[in-house]
Amino acid sequence: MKIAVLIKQVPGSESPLPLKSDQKWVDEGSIAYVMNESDNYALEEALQIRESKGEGEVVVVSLGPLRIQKVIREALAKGADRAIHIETQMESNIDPLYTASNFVNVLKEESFDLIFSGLQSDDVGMGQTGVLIGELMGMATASLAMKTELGDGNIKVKRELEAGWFQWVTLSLPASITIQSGLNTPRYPSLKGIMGAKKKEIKVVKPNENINNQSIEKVYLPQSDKQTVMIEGSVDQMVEKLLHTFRNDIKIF
Amino acid sequence: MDILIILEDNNGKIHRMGLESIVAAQKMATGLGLSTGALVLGANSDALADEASNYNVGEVIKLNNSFLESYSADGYAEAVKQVIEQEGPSYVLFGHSYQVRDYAPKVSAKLMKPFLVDNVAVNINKGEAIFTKQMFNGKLFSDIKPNGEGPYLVSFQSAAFSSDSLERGSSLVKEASVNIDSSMIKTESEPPFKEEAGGLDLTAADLIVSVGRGIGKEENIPIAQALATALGAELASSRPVVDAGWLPSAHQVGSSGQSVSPKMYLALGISGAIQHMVGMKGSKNIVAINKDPEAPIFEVADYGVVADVLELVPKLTEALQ
Amino acid sequence: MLSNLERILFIILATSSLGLAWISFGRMFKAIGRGTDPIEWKKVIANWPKGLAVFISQKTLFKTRPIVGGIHAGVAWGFTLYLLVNIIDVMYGMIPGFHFFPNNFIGDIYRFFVDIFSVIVLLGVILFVIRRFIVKDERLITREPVLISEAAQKGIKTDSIIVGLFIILHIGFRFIGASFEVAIHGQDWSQPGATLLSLSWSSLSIESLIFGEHLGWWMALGLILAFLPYFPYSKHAHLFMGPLNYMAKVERRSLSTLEIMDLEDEKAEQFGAGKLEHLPQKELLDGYACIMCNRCQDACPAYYTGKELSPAALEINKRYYLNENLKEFSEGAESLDGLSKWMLSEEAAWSCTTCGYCIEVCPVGNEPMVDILRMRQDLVLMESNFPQGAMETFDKIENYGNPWGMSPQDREKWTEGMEVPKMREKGSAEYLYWAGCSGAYDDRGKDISRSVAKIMNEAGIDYAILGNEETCTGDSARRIGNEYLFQMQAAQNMENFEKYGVKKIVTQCPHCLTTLKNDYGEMGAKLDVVHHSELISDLIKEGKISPKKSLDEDITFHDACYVGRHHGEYDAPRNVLESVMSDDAKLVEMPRNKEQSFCCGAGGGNMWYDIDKGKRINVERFEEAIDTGAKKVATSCNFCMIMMEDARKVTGQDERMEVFDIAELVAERL
Repeated sequence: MKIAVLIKQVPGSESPLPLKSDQKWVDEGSIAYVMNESDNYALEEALQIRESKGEGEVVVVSLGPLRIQKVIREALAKGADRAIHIETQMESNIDPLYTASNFVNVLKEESFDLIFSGLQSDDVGMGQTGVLIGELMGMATASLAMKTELGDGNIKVKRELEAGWFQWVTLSLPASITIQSGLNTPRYPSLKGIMGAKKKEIKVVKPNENINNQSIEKVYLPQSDKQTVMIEGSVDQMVEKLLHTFRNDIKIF
Repeated sequence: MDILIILEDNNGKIHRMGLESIVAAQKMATGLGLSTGALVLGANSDALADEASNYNVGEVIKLNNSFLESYSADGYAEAVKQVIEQEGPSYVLFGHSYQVRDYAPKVSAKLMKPFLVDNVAVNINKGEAIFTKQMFNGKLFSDIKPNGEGPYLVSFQSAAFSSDSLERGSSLVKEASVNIDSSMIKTESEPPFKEEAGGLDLTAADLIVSVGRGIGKEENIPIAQALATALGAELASSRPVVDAGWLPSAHQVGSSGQSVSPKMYLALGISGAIQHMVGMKGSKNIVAINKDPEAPIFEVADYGVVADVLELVPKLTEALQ
Repeated sequence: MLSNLERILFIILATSSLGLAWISFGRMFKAIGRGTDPIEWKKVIANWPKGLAVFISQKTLFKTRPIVGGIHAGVAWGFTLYLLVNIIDVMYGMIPGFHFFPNNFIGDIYRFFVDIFSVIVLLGVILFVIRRFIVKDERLITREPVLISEAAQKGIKTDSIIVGLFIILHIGFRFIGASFEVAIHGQDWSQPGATLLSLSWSSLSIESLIFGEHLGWWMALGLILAFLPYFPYSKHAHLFMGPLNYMAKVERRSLSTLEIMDLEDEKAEQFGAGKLEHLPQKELLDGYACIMCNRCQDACPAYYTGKELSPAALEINKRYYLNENLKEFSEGAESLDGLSKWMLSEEAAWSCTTCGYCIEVCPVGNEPMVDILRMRQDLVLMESNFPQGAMETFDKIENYGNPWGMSPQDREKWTEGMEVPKMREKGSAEYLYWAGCSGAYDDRGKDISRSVAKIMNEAGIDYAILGNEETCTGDSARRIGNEYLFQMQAAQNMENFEKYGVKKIVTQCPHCLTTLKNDYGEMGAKLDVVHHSELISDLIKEGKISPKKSLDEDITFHDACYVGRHHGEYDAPRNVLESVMSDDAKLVEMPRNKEQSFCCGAGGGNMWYDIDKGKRINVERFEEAIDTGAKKVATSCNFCMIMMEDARKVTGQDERMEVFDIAELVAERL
């Protein structure tokens, strides 16, 4: 059982996001990077499947500049067996077809039974990579998995739908599945894992696809033309003003 | 046609996001001087075609096929891809629904054409359409343009356009056909199901008090409940509160919970991450109480209070009683 | 005194007893030897003055329970005397014609003391037996839901009965024997008790009297011989193991500063303690020194508020595990069960706030808190098994440099509107002012930082802050057991300290204080770290600042564990308070103050995760503050402040009690 887990390094939710002077991207220098949240869940799911099967390999594949090796090592520390790093010079190409086709070139070299990825990245948030890869490799695909059940030659996935609805889908293997946050409890690496990760293999390769079908014109802070009325004062004053607003402006009673 | 709108089925009626896509298409058509058309497919395509013909969409393409009777990612992707090849549009518009997220990227891969997702706006600039998307969990916006030759696949975020501005009209319906065989369908789906029995229908609520992580801990939820009771409002929450087990998922508002549009949405300790905003943007009046003056929720709120929820809410409740 | 036959019998019995004792004591010391970190016995023995001093003075028993301590002192001194008594009695029995200074005032004084102490010890032990079995003092039991082994529960009762009976019978029979001796040889008023008793035998024949004397001798010494091999199984071993433990005390920089692990060591197979044999020898010795008095349990904040933790149960379980498995364990067998199965539950381990009360109050120098820290290291580093809240906190520290998970670029925000020099601009300064993570991100913490900066500005101190270059000291990580994360954080900070030539640090956060001073010190850093209370107290003494004495309401003070017990400073914060109090105001002490201060509940990582059991520790302490009648409580720690403020809200007592840091009280009066 061979599972590939695609992970991405993204700015943390509390990280500052200063813009570059040309406003084409953020200034990476002062950003606090972390592993993409849903990728963490995807990794945990893969590790749990390998543990329940008692055999198999979990391979982490990641695309990005040198700094992403930090999250690759994290994944190795948590239990992935080895990693492949598609090293790019900088985060400039946001086209999911670029990302997916470069992943495909690496993934097709080995025969993976499953490809897991987070449902979307917390930076660009295109949410397509896993499904694109699956389609490009002729695999069955499913998105937003809230539960997986591995069967014989297939896998059952509980897809999340709108408004509290769900759907079970059975996919024949090999399959590419995007994973929703919250379906398991990601582990913390043990010291052994951390130390062992230093010795695990990270194969570095270069990307060779150059697709660039969508690109950023400008990145900027949201300007809202909506004028928010700020209610101020001491706590007691705020309570009074709120009641006034409820009564006279919003007219709820 | 130049702009093909893919309309999603909501139990025999056009899904609200489909109607919003028509509005988007109508805007782009006017701005770029393009023609529009709409595609309906699946088991209820007849009913959907009927409904669509009452809007100003250009022409309505109705697609019936045994492999499309129930949803499958492979089936829908292959069908849409073939219709695109038949009709040759330069833009294909979707609502950014769970279903679209599941199959539309496959269309993108089949055609090797870009899919610009989850846009909150489209602007026409020198004869070009530039799409605006949120990034970094809503902290930044980015303007994205497609490169190379079309067709370009585009999806719009829920409530990015309002179906209030839908232009009515009369459009002709034509039938289309596609070739799908069973070897293309690599999945088997069971019927969708709801998990929460005994539904709390927030979509019908007039007043909602909603709690986020800022409530601190499970023990403090009664503080919010007390306020809701005093206002005669329903209690809702953001996803992290449900994930932590502090409230059952029936209370969840957001992209993976319910979408609500009450007269007043009182957000307590909710930061305003997009996943949540998407579910309550349609509220008539949003009042946000949060300790952090930089919380994104203040961007969408009509009234904002920078205060500690745990300090303010009990006093507010008391004053109401 | 004895007949030849008796002498031979005694030699045989004594030899057997000593033989058996050799085996059991041998096993005891071999078992202790199974631990890591070998005890340097030569050094320990060389420490005998310390052990002797504690034994004679009994001072460690008076920290709490003074009455019980007083009775015990009587028993202990009596017992010590009886060591001499037993030797002299053996000589009297075995050496023909031997008498100990029979007509000499030395002998008289000796006999007098023996007589008096016999009565004291008898009375004392009878009182103790009554206390345990009739009054059933509840401090002597450990209530649910604390894990306490079956063996321990039964064993403590049985052992108490055996020991009680042994002492009563040994002393009793010796006393009776002495009374017969007096009856034989004539009244001896240097032995008032024995002489009084001897009057009862006035009607007996001389043969009966001699029989009585021999009986007394045999019973007294026979019991000793019988009891000797039993010592290692009884809590009575504390007689010598207690002082020995005291002599073997490990010199730590502070109560919770453990040795630095070499995490890179490829040969190391175990980090922290998962099984009994992973504990250091000293901590196995703790189990033998434990007198099962439960003093540590009395004010353990976790035990007091209904959690699964009792430091007493920890040591008692340890002792009984050793008792039950002594033979195999001493011979080298690996423990079958992990510590979390029998010594204390995982939840108990996480309930510890590392307040140090148990270590402070233990009469024999045990360190149950250290056992817990080692167990945590195993749970975190080896098992990856720890509370979810802690995991999130580790991620936040690792990714953002603070346990709050807030942006590292916002660390200087508290300085807005103030003149606070930054190291990167100033280059160097006499003091590094370390605001810490709470001082940078928590609202009330920022108030404290601003107050401290104001005071230092006013006093003209040459200082600077690291500002955005500051990153978490790693205290929480270390106390929860994540040595790896702690060392990572330490390395980052120590690099900055090198860069700016930092020698002196002042901080308001006691957790940063202990980590920078002691844990970084253990890693080789040479830093002189003071708490802000010490600095402010000095500034006031030197007249560099003169706050107005305008506080005219009564105020109470909550000692922070990491300033008090861990750092030894109780006076400085009180001096600071006195300096702002008018003559109308009083400093009202809470019943549990200074060395006995009751923890606020945030330490040991408990700030970051929730042990949902029993009463909230901070509410317990807050109520104690309210009960003093004061309307203000002063703290000197960011965490204590947060806990007290939280308790205010949770109990709805916002109006009733206000919380201030000592720095705030001074700064607003400059």
